[in-house]
Amino acid sequence: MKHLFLQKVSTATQADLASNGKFFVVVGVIALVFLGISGFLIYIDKRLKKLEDKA
Amino acid sequence: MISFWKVLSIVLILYALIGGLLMPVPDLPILEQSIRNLYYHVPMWFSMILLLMASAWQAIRVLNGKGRLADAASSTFATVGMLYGMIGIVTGMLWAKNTWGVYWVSDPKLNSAAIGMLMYAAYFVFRGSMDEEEKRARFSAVYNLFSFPVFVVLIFVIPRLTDSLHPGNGGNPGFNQYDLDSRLRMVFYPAVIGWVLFGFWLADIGLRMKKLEIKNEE
Repeated sequence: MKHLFLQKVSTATQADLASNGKFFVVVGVIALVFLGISGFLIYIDKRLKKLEDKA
Repeated sequence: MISFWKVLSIVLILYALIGGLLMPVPDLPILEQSIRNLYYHVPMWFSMILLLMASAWQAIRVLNGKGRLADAASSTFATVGMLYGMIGIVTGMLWAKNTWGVYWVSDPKLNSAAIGMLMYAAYFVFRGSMDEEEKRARFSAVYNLFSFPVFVVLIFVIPRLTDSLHPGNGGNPGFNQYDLDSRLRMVFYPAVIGWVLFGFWLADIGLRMKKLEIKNEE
């Protein structure tokens, strides 16, 4: 019974997600989080380069 | 300047993160929308195996007398490989809970992956237990070269010889049923390439730090 119930709840389809524009906000946030982390990685990479040039 | 391939990894992952959530996916039974995990969980394993391959390659270089730098590279690749493997296991468990109903089942694919991870955990313990650098480099290179083929057999061969819940096993090579779908492929391949490049970038940074440390010591 429990599983039947779970299956019913979990059938959100692509159309359901897109029907309310707020889902795209989440996608945007995920993208920004990743961009932030990558930006920091680039920053580290550049600072490391400077250290290497000095050494 | 930042190398082209590093920027490429960011672009590809960004595309996979966004596309993986927004692009249409086939309507599969039980998996339903969770098939999107294909874009996030599976690239971890692809990247891990390539990183471990790089680690084994550097281990060969150690045994060919390439010394400290090759040893540093070998251990760095293994470290990032394990990071990816760990993320792969944890994400896989979450997906398993919502597909099979439990976090872990005694399945050949899962257990093999766990054994493989433990083998590499032992690699790091082994390294940590030796002070003499020359010896540590050679011994861990030998251990690495034993581990890698065994790991490959464990996660790619053994699960195919028997039945497994995990897709792509039980005499069923590849993950055909999903992979054949061109909608999935359009995000999956860029995701794999992006995460592989990203992993090598992380290893690159780790290795360059180790090189600086070695230089400082000298």
